[in-house]
Amino acid sequence: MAVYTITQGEKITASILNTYAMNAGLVYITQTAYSASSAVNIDGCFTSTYDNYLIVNSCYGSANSNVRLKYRIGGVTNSDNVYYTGGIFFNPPGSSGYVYDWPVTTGHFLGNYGNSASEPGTQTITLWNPQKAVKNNLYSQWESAQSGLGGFNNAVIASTAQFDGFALIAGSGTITGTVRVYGYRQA
Amino acid sequence: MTRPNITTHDALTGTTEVREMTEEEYTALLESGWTEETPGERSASDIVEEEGSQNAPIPDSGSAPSDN
Repeated sequence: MAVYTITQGEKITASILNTYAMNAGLVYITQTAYSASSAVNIDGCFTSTYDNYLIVNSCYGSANSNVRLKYRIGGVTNSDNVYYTGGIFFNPPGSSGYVYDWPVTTGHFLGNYGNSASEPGTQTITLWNPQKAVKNNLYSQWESAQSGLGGFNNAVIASTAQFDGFALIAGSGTITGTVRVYGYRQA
Repeated sequence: MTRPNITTHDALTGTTEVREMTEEEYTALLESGWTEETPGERSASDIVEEEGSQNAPIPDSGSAPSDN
């Protein structure tokens, strides 16, 4: 029973509540607030419970820069040159878009941020299969509230390692913000 | 020189640690292209362009990926 509609005056039972708890689409895994860090590691968030994940990050920097992602296993960041990222970004108003790719050494490019706490850069990242022994993919949609710059990136890692975490890495200086991780529930 | 801070959050225990990077972590950070704060103003688009390279294939205008 994936969906149950509660009618007016009906008694809410444990069974009904369990139906909703067990059938949620996105399941919260973890979150953390971070401050003035050049890298933010999230360990133990990818498990065999879920194949696919959603990461929502909001941050600003000590300087305008880009945030990148590298994967981790057992508390160690994978720094191999295996991070392939291509994307499109737009610089509104009135200017055209740009198609770009990023060096494999930097990690997956996620998005740009400014240095104002009240104008954060945000990235919404979907990951497929980071914990499975396949080449996993990533999609990031991002926007910088400070500059108005925004874009989309697709990425693949040339590795079949089974990752259990990730690192957010500042391109310059440090970042301050909040990151949350969710798993896509599997029926 | 003081190395930058690194934050590590364990999703299994919910604990978060903030500490100075080790020399090894700092070396890896530098090798990833990280730079210290850049003084002065640079536009966000400049930063994206400097870090990226405009050599990704650009599809023909109006064409969609083929199914075969």
